[in-house]
Amino acid sequence: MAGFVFRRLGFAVVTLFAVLTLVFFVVRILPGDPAMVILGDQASAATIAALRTRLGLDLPVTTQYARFILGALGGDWGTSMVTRRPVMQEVLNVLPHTLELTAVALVLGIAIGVPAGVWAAVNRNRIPDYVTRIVSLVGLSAPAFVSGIVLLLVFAIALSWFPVISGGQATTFTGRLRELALPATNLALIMAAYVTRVTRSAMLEVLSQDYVRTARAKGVPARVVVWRHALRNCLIPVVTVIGLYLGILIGNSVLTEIVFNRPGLGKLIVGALAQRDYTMLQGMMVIYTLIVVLVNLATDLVYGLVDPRVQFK
Amino acid sequence: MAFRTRTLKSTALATTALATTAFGFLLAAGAQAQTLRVAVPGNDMASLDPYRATATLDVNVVNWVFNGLVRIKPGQINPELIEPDIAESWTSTPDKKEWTFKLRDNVQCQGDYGALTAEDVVFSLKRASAKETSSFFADYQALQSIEAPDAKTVKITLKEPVPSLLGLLVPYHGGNIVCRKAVEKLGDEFARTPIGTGPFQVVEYQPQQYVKLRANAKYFRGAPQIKEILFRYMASDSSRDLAFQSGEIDLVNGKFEDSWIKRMSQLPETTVDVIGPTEIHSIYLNTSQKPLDDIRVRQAIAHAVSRDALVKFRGTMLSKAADSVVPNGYLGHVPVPLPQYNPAEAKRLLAEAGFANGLNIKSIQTTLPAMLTTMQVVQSQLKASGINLDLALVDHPTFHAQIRQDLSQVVYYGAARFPVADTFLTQFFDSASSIGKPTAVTNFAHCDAADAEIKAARTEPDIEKQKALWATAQKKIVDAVCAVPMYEMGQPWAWKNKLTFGYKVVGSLGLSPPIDETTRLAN
Repeated sequence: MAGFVFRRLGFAVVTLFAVLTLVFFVVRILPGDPAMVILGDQASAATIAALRTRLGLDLPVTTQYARFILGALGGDWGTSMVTRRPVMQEVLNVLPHTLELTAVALVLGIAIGVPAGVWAAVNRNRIPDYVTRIVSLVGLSAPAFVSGIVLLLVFAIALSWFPVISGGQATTFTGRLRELALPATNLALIMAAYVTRVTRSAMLEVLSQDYVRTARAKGVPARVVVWRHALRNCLIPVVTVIGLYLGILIGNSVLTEIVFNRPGLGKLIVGALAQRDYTMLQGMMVIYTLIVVLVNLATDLVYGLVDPRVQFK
Repeated sequence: MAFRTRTLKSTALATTALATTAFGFLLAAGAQAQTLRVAVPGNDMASLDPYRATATLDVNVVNWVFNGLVRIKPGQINPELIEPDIAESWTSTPDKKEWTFKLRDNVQCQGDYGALTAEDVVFSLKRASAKETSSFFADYQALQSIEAPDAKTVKITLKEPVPSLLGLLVPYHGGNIVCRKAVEKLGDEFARTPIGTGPFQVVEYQPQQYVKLRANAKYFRGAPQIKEILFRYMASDSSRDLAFQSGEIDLVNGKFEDSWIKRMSQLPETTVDVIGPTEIHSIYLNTSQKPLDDIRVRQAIAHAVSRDALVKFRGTMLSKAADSVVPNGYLGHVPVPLPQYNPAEAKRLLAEAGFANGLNIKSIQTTLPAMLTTMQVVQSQLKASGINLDLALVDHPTFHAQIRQDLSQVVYYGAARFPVADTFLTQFFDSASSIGKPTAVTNFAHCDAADAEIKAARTEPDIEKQKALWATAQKKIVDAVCAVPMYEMGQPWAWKNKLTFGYKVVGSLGLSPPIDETTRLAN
């Protein structure tokens, strides 16, 4: 298994290098100029040109690339062209907020999605099944900014249970939970919709297997049949979807971060893109790629836990 | 399947009990300390160094941190209402080339940076004039020398008389006075936690979240009543409004929409106002390119645009029809007769110019909704006169890049500037500011119709003659149809009535209401 992990990490290095190279050139193809963002729209062309020189943007792109790669190999991801703060410091400032939000949303999404999927499957073509399918379809269809605003209107404005600004700056545990509740629920609802549908379809397949019928015929209680025998055997597709969705969740949390005014990677990358902050975009891509690679690796490893038949070679 | 019902019931009961207990704790955690809480649109600050701060949300904060040698009367934006700030008095030689400022005695830098001296002022103005440290250095190129004969005196010598010199020394852009020791000690960090002499000091910055400012107890006009300002960056318009509605925000910068003003006005205990300086929204016609090099074509476009319809579209509470190429309220603005909406006349002029069968022109256009919708209205108005305006949609940074590469025949631009006619005329209509030149700023029209008047007004010592030159310049620019002025609008703000300002707020150079020692926040 150690060999498997090392091999995957080796692939990750190659992937990172390819992504970095791609991002480096793509962001420079985009029209727009960080120097103009810094200086504002009243700056003269000569002033903008002077700043471009100071930022090294007038150097041949190959020279810029060589500098960037050498810096990255030495652990230096550069400084943000707009804020002049180290890129890694900027990323690490907000990364914990994104991880916190994603982790809670993940747990909530699984806690809601798996039982709902099982419930729908065991009640196939009955009212609970229809209700679950319709609700999960709504969950899949509703954009995060719409569900976020609805949550705010109900729970922050009408009921006053939670704050509108969920900034993640509370210092107490309860304060933290209070700030996390709505954004995490917003992300979790969408994830739960995916998990529900996958669990339902996987469960339907497993419930029609011979060994389930045999277990029932032998008088094994229905609860044990469903939750112990059937559920465990339908977890592989569920884990796959959760793994895939986790990567999407981290990347797509931007709308939730904006609506609930939370700091996070999503907002950072949107800001960097709007400001054409090349160095920041490069650093962000490294982090995203790393997260996706690690999540995929973790997903593969979890296969072995949920199904002992899976072998790592 | 009895187990399912039992299991579900147990789960529901347990969840309800847990949720109820949790809410008890959570609601208790909601108490807040008294602080003025402000929210503005945007994701994050770029720089609070006053010589680099150009984004509105950065200028908003700078507004509360710094002083200038002089200032415009608080709550006003008329440069004729200048009064002492850090300088208690000043004199100038008859030729207006040497100015001497006497500083107040009791001006302290925030934090532990000690008393402000003339050396700090000299350092500040030199820093504002340097290309390496200031985005506004071009405004200060007439300053030949800045000296400190003693700790309380600053002497400025000019290369040539600058009648509007005092306007350059108000706390706006390069006129903000910084504390030298702080700049030298903090380095790059100065852009996050700048040190000035104003009523509030920046004490904390949370990326993508907020800037916290604390009252400067040593402020020379007296310690502010408000002890703390929490200045929040909130990109979502809906969330910002909901936070104001829920009482989490006391002062909010609004949307440029009448519906926003109407909605906020209906909230209890709320005041909504639109403050200056106004920004003017115009379309600039590229006179260097065919077919817009033909004045008849430009006149046709001007006659095809209905200002009244545009104002109706933007909303009459927020906007009004422009009546010159310089916004109302700016020193030197004069109303100028503009071409009236007349599609028949537009068609006649087009036919005369050889475009009887219609005209195709291209415009690079940002996808920012407020700007795009305006241009779509203009597009439909032009269509009615036989002009097909092709909108090439790009994101906002691309828009700014491409209009500065002369890729757009028609450029739609909205801007507010320091409220003196010279700023607008120089940046948008002086041929030296034409796109493509090293000195280019925002003369997208390549206009040169009033170069002589703009240049002469800059050094004209007699204010009445100066105003006359600006008036002539505006008329010439309108006659040459370098631009089609459309409408003007101010900055929409809403605040809870528990917040009271010490002055009538007509406007603010910092584009945010003045928060100082006179501002109060009731419990």
